[in-house]
Formats: sequence, structure tokens, C-alpha cells
Amino acid sequence: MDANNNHSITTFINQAQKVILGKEKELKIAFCCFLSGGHLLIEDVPGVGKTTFAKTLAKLLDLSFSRIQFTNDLMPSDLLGVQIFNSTESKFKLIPGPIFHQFILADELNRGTPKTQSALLEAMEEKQVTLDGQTIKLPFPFFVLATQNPRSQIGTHHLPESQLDRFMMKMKIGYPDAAFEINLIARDEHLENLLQLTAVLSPESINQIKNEIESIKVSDELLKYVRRLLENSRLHENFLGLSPRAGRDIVKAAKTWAYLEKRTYVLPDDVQMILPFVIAHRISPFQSQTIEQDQDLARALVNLTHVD
Amino acid sequence: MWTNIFQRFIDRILTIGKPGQIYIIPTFDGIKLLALNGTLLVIGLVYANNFVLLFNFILFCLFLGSMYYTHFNLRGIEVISVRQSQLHVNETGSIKLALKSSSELGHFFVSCRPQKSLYAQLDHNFKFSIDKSTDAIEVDIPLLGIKRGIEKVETIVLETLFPFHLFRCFTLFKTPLQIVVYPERKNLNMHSFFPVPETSANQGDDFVLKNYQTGDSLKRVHWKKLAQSNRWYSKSIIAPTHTPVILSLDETKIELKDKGRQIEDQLSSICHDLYRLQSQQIDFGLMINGELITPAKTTNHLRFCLRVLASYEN
Amino acid sequence: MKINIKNLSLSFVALDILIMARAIPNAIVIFATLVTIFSLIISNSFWRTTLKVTFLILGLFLIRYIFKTFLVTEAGVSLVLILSTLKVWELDSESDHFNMFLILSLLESCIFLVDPTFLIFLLGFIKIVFYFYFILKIRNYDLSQLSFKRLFVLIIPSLLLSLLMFYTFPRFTQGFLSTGNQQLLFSGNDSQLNMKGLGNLKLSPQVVFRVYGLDHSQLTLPLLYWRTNILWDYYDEIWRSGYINLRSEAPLISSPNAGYRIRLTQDPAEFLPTLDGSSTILKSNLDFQFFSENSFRLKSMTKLDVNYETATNTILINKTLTPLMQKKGLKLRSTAKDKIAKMILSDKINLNAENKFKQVIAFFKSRHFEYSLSPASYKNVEDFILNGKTGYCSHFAASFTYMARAVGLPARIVSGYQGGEINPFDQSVIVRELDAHAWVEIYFEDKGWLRIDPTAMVVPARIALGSSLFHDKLEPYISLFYFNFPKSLLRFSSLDKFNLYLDSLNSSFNSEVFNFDKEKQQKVLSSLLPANFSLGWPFVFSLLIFLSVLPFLFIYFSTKRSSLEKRKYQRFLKKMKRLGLEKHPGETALQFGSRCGRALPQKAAMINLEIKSYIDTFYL
Repeated sequence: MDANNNHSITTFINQAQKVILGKEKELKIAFCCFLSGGHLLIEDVPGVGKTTFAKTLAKLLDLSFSRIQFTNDLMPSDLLGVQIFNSTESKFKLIPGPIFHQFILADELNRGTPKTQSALLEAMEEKQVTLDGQTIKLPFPFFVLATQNPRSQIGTHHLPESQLDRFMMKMKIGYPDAAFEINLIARDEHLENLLQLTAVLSPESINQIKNEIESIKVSDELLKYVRRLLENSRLHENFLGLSPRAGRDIVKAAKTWAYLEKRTYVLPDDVQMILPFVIAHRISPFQSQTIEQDQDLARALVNLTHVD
Repeated sequence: MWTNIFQRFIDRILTIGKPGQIYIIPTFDGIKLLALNGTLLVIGLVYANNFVLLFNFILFCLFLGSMYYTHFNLRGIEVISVRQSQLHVNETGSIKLALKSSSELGHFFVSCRPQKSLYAQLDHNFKFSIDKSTDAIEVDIPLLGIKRGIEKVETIVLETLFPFHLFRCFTLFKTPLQIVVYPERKNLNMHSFFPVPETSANQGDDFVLKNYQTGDSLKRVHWKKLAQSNRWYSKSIIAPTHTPVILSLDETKIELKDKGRQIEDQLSSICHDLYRLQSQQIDFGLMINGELITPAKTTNHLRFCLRVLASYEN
Repeated sequence: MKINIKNLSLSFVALDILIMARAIPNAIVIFATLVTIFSLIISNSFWRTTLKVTFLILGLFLIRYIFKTFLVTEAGVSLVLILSTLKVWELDSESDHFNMFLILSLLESCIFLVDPTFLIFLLGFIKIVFYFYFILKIRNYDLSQLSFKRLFVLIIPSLLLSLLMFYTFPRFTQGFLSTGNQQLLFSGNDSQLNMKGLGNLKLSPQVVFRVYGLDHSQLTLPLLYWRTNILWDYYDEIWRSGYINLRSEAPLISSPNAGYRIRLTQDPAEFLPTLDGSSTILKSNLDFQFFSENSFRLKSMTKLDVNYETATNTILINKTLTPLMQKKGLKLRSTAKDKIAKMILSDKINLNAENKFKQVIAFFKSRHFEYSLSPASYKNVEDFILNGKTGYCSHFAASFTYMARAVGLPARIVSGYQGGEINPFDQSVIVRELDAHAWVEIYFEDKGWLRIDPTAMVVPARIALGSSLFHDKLEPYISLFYFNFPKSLLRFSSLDKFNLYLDSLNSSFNSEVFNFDKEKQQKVLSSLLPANFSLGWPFVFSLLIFLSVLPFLFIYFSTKRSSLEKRKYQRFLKKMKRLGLEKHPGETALQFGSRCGRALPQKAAMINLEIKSYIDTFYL
């Protein structure tokens, strides 16, 4: 492991904590998700700092940031962009939508119409956009952080299971700890801190880190364990069976987590660590459940499955 | 006659035996063979014929050996999970049973006897063989829905007669399985439904472009696009997002006479519509006994609604 | 080829009928065959049932009529045979086939009763196994799922332990039922000889007895004479043995020059064959009587195998001549007696015994008899002497005795066997039914009872070559549909050898397994056990071994064996469990390690080492 990269990861977490108080684990998980090349879904009540969270990450990672607020009337074209006829050059010109950024915050995803949701999710999966028959590649790295409100209301559109599956992880930020919360309500300085943040990781070093993560060793024993997890999820009625894609995501995320833990091999502990986040949105057969219930389910699956 | 005795025996040990224990009793064939053994022993002794005695002992030892063999079929077997697939009245489904064994030699030709059920018809002589190479084995026991309702199945009997049919070895598993039989799907259109008023109307371009084909209406031609690209496109309208529908039991249509059947018919009709709405990607909810189930359209939501219908009692 | 299980049952029943045909009365065999054929023809269910019941009743009557009782072995065997043929009528469902299996097993056992040889046993066993295999097949078992390992675990110990149980099962008796005084006759052991009844000589290769421990180097094989029975009395033109009043104590043989053990395999046995000469029986598994004519008779006729040890002095000639014997040896109630005596002596008078004997031989030779397997039929002995031309040993012996008695020499017919075949595989001499022979003994005052073989006078080759070779020479062809095939074409030395090998196998199995009786068992077990042990205990013991060995084998073969490192880790887990720390299934090694480390700080180093080595092996 490159000492330089190692250092920058530590700096990343430390810097981020200046803005987001007391959320080290969540930061690490989000960072892990980013490094694994997946997309993150945050489900939480308004006002816990979802947007700040996303902005901090974007700033520290030196990524171009855009925020899309999903509403009923948001159309796919608002998201992807339009071709406009330029009369002076008598040519069509692409006005790119907000999706053409490296870091996208899709706010209140479940308030958008299914059509718009699908447009985003397609872009997430294929990392490219098709506009009027023209295929345009999305920038790299491309990371979507979507948020959604936990309470299902009339007028919201739940994402179907197949589309939820495209998010690698689902997490909540949660209320801050008492000590931090006092700090938070007393001083309103985190916005200033956010402005003062400087990029810690360059796209080159991110690439380098991703390559290093690729070389993390995954033993047969571990793969067997992951398979047992998948199998058990399919065998029991309380769970919705996990797809092979979920299995692939588990291994990817576990590798990244092992890297963050400064190990060159993956342990079942890594899998157990990231599992509640990776499968929270895939394991529950009932959509009306809260994320805590989902994560409890994930833990039940862990407790049920033999490690060795 | 024999199955009756067997059933009574099971009922007896159900109350006294611990779950997970393996029981083994000779079958009627086994008892017949034992009788033959006795006869041969007497013949062998009376005529002092050692061949008869030897033959008798070989038969006897194979008889005893098959007892162990049969017993080891079930040794180390575990039920990992029991689930039930979607089942409607007058339709077939299955109980999905996942088994695991710790014995390397595997288990063969196990048959499964769930409890007798009021609501569903079970194949009580269902047989399956277990492949020793896999870790867990999933088996589907066929079911036929008879009556709407939910019923708890407390025990499942796994039994095997392999290899020589001389011993019946069985074990009981306590399961949390519930057999859920959903109402029959009938297009009767007897229930009532009302749409949920949406807060905001749909706006925007609800169409997709298709290459123009001769015969397409001129009204549908996308003139703007034609000007831009000099190519013909026609607009194909997609239906606007449907407003969610809430289905409910229509109390007014129920007459006092033949009440039960009418309720069943209405439930069947709701059941049929749930599937129709789901396939049309329309959000659906339920209003049953004054309780509202908020509309959604996922498969799990459908399952939940069906479960509510299955457990409906008035 | 697809084998129909019904046809299989039918063929087994038919095969069993064929095997039993020799031992069971012909009427029963024909009846059983008829029933089987009817079962194939009639398909109407009403007629089937009616006929089945009718046949059952008829069969019972037939058995009662033939055997007079239901209690003899043959009656029981016949009943099972008829039952099994009747069972062929109803072979529809699975359970029918299983019942058929049970009946066929019983039938096989019955075959062992009438024909207790190893090969028959093996054949029966294989048949039953084959039949059972097909029953499993119709039960819709996928037999490929029967793993070889499991079958091995099941069958090998079962066979071994059934042998153990067989040896240790307490034998209470030699058999409760005696087969009774049945006059089933065969040539070498005949108790009577009737010139009118002598037909064609049958050359059956059936083994009559085997001789072990014989010092064959001293004896030229074809010259071995095995005596069984003496025929004294001649009245109503039939020679009969008159042994009853000749009973005496068994003699002591001063210097026997041959000691051997004989096992009679032919049934029923009445007289015990011994080498010609003076013999004494040292040991026998059944009680016998000795007669002063030097023959040994079993006290009761038996179908059991008879084993006895004999010592014989082949040179010492029996000189016993009681007045009764003299009277019997000269007694000849015949009207043609004087006429024949006159013809022999040709008016010479006052001849001494030796000269009389020479006259008899001269007369016998002058008749120019010819040896034949299918001689002409004669009214009586006189007819043969006066007009006879062709005959075999019985004719010659009977006529020679007649002639000797007619001229006043005490003479008797000895029936027995002559020759035999050496089996090089177990150094035994096999004597077959075709070796059956008869000769004459004539008493001379100074020499005793001298053996005279009139057959040797007619055809010396019969004695010199031995029976089977001689008869091959006599009739070198086998005729089949008017064609003659040389027998030499059918004889292969390797096949003969194989035959002999099978024979030795059969006989050793018979002696080791089949003749394991009460005495033998007591001897073996008492040498193995402390003195005051009951004989039932070894049986209980062997049953217990069986009950414990098999589960052990099954457990051994069925446990999944993991790798060495994994076992090491499992041992560690077991150790921790003993210390009160059990690993939850979902707990990882690291979590468990740290939990254990907290609970047992003094063992933290060892725990960490174990966990580390486990992780290094499996995850690194």
C-alpha cells in the first residue's frame, strides 16, 4: 500500500470530520462506496445534513458537483440535457443537463416520476447517456449520492426492487451524538469549514487507490462465506433473496473496506461490517420498513450464516 | 390399515417425543421378512440343515444392516427453511423446503409428510432424492389450494424407506410454516374502487419519438423535429401516470342471503384486480375492514395485500 | 433387454422345479409344471381364482396320497413348490412381488434340504439376490444412488457376521425329525438284487462318498474295492441281505495299513463303505452296527451327511464262519440247482473245495459272457446261467454265487464300489455312483472269505482301467438324434480340472460349513471359551458385535472429513467450548478470538496464535 495514499485517506476522514461532526463511520462507508465504484442511497429525515455530507465529499475528492432536486415535474430532459438549434452556426448544440458532473446529489429521489428516476438509474448503470440517438459518455469518476425520505407519502414513487439493486449501498446519517449536537446548534461554523476545505485526493490518486483495491486478495473461503450468505437469504422467508449482483457488490465493498483497514486480504469481518449497508435495500421483502429494520434483518442474516 | 396405525403412532410421539429425534420401525414387509426368518430358523433346526441356517442368517443380517442404512439416511439432516410459494384457491403451488445434511453419504429418497391441511391439498407421498454433492437442497412439495385462509403447519415429517423398504425411518421437524391460501382469481367485478386524488397534475411531454411509418396520423408527426433534422418522426403517446386505485369490499352489494359466498366472490374479484393493476403498473391499495393499506405496486406489496385478503374474516 | 419381473419369477420357479425334479416324486413335479402352465394361459379373474383354489386342494390331496403324511421333508418341499407355482397366478402389485420373494426364499431353502451342496446353495443365493434387485427396481428407486461405499459397508460386514452368527448359534439337536425307513435304493448300496429287475446300467456321475487322508501312493487306484453290503439270502429269486442275525461286536484290527476318513454325501445312506479287507470304524458322527460279515450298517437310515474314520488292513482276510453263516452261505432254494451243479461238475465226484472252485470258474468261462451296459432281460439267475449272454457286474456276481452254492461252496454277493478318482486339489478320492460294483466272496477253510470278481474274468479292463475310462472305451460315442459324437470331443482336460476344483470347493465348504453340527460346535466353542460358559453366550456376543460394528462403520464412512488445518481449528473451538466459550455461527474468528481473550486473559497468547494461524491459512 502506498504510504502517500494511506496518508491521504486518513487526511480525508479527518478533514471531513471538521464539517460533519462525529460521523466517522458513515463517512468511511460513503468513501468505501465511492472507492468501490458504486452509488450510495441515503435515507434520512430532512435536516440531518445530507446535503452538507454530499458537498463535503465532493469537495474533498476534487469532483465537479451538481445537485438535482427531484420533484413531480422533473422531466428526463431536465436531468440529461437538450439539443438546441443554434441559428448562427445552424447546428444543434448540446446543452448538458446536471447529470454531466462527477458527483451528483440526487435529492429526494422518490419524489420524482418513475420516468425520471429510470433516466437517472440508467445513466448510473451504463455510465453513459443517450440523447436523441446520440450517446455521450459520462465523466469519470461518476458517483451518485441519492437521498430519499423514509416516510412513504402519497405522491411519492417508491423505487422498484430492480432499480434499488443498482445502488451499491443504502445508509442513514442519523442524528449526531449529544456532544456534537451541542456544538452544532451553538455555532454555525460548519459552512465556513466547508468553504475552507481543499481537495485531498486527486483523480490520479483515486485511480491509483482503485488499482490497489483490485489487488486485494479474496480467498476461496471468503467467497464460500459470501455464497452462503446469499444462499441463506434465498432460503428464508423473512428475506428477499439476494441477487448475484448483490454478491458481487458485497465482495467489492469488502475489498475496499479491507483496504481502508490497511489489510491486503479480506476477512469475514470486513464482509460483516459492510453487509448491513450493502444489502439493507435488497433484503427486506416489505418496502414499508425503516432502514433500521432492514439493517436488523441484515444482521439476522449474518448471525444465521456459518462463518467457517 | 398400516398408514392409519402409522398416523396414530405419529400423533402419539408428537406429544411425547422431542423434535429432531429419529424414529425407526420395521415396515410390514420387514415384519414379513422377520417371519420368514423365524420359519427358516425352525426348518433349519428341525432338519438340522446348515444351508438353511446360513441362508437365514444372511437374510437376517441384511435385514439388520438395512436398519442402519435406513437410519443413516436421515442422520444429520437439518431443515434450513420452509417457505410456501404463492397459492390461490384452485391453483397449484408448492412448499419449498430447504434441507441440509452433515452426513457425507447423503440421504436418499426421502419423502415428506406435512400435516394434513384444511386449506390446501398436499401430496403426502411426495418423494425426492437428495444429491449428496450440494450443501443445501431445495425441494418443492406440490400443493393445491382448496379454501381461502391461513393455517399454521407445526410439523413436517421426513421419512425414508431406502434402500430395502424393510424399515421406515422418520423424523419430525417443528416449523414456523404457515400455509397461506389466497382467494381464487375470478374476474367478477363485484368490488368497489376509488382513485386517490393526486396533488398535482402531470405535465411535460408524455410521448416518445418513433420513426414515422406510413399510415401514422399526420396529427402525430413531430413537426419541430422534422424542421430540425429533416427526418420524419411520429409522436407516440404514453399513458400518463395512473392515479393510484384503492380497492375495497363493497358492503352495499352484499345481501344477507348467502353472505359468505358473496364475500368470497368479492374477495376473488379484488384478487383478480390486484393482479391486473400490478401488471398495468398502477399503484394499488386496499381498504378492508376500515383499514387502509397505502398504494404501491411492488411484488411485495401485492403479496402483503393478498395476505390480508386471505386472512379476512368478518 | 428388458426383463419382466413376472417372467423372472416364472423362470426361477421353473428352474427350481428342474432342480428338484430328481428329489421330488414325478407326480408332484408334473403337477407343479401344469399349474405354472395354467397360470400363463388363463387370464379371466374368476377362473383364475376358482382354479387356484381347486389346484391348492388337489395339491394337498396329492401330497397326502403320495407321502401318506405331511410330516416328511419331501411333503413339505412339495407343498412349498406347489404354493410358489400358485403364487405365480397373482403377480400384479409391488407387495405381490415381495411375497413372491419370500416364497421363493422358502423354496430355495427347501432345495437346500433336498440337495445340500455348495453349488446349489450359491446358485440359490445368487438367484435370490437377483430377484431382490428387481424388486428394488420396481419400487422406483434410482439404484444408481446406492453408493458403492455404502453397499460395501452394508454387505461385507453382514456376510461376515452372518457367518459368525452361524457358527455361534446354539445347535440344540441333530434334527428333530428322522427321515424314516424309506427304501430309496441305489446301485452301490443295494439291499437286494433281483435278476428280473436289473435294467440298463446308469452311469451317474453323482458323488457317493469322499475319502480323505488315504495314503494313495500305496494302493493302485483301480484295484480299490469299497465294500458296503453283503447279500446272503436267496429266495423268491431275489438276493437279500440277511444281516440281522449276524450282529456282533466291532473287531479290533491289529495292524491296519490304511487309515482314512470317509464322508458319505449320497442320501439316503444305510451301509458304510469301507475298504475291502478287515476294517474297524474308529469314529462316526452317527451310531452304527457291526456285522460279523465285515459290514457296517447305520442304526437308522438318514439323509444327513455321514462322517466316519476307518482303519483297514487290506491284506487280512476275514475268516469268521459261524454255523449260521455257513448255513446261509450254502442255502439255495432253487429247482434248477441240481441240474446246474451237474453241468458244472460234469459228473466228477468227491472233489475238494479248491477243485470245485476251479470247475465253477471253468464253467463260468465256458459260458463266454459279454459285458454290456444294456443287457437282455432275464427271468431269474438260472435263466442267465443257462441262456445268458450279456450282462454286467450284478449278473456275473449273482450267477457266480449261485454256481458256487450249487456245488457246495459257501458264497455271498458283496455290493459296493470299485475304483474312484483322485482330486489333486484336496487329495481326496471321489467315488461316484458309476463306480458301483458287485463281486463274490467264497469261503475256503484254510484261507477264509476270498474275494472273487467274476466281472474281471469277463472284462479285465473294467477293473484295470476303472469304471469311467472303461465305459468311455466301451461306448466312445454319444448319440444325439441318430448322430454319434465321440465323447473325446466333449472332454477337455481343463474342464475336467475345473470340475475337480469345483468339487473340492464344494466338499470343503460342505465339511467346514455344512457339517458344522452340535458336536463340532461344542468342540470349537469349548476350546475357545472358559469351561463353565453356556453355549448361548457366543451367539449373543456375536449379535452384539454386529449391532455395534455396523453403526461404527456407518459413522466412520459418513462423517465429512475436513482439511487438516480446519480440524486443528475445530479442535481449538472444542477446547474453548470446554472452557465455556461457544462460538456462535455468525461470529468471525477475530471476534471470537477477542471475546475469548477478554474472558481468559491468561490464555490470550495461545488464542491469538490459533486465530492468527487460522486466518493465515484460509484468508491470506
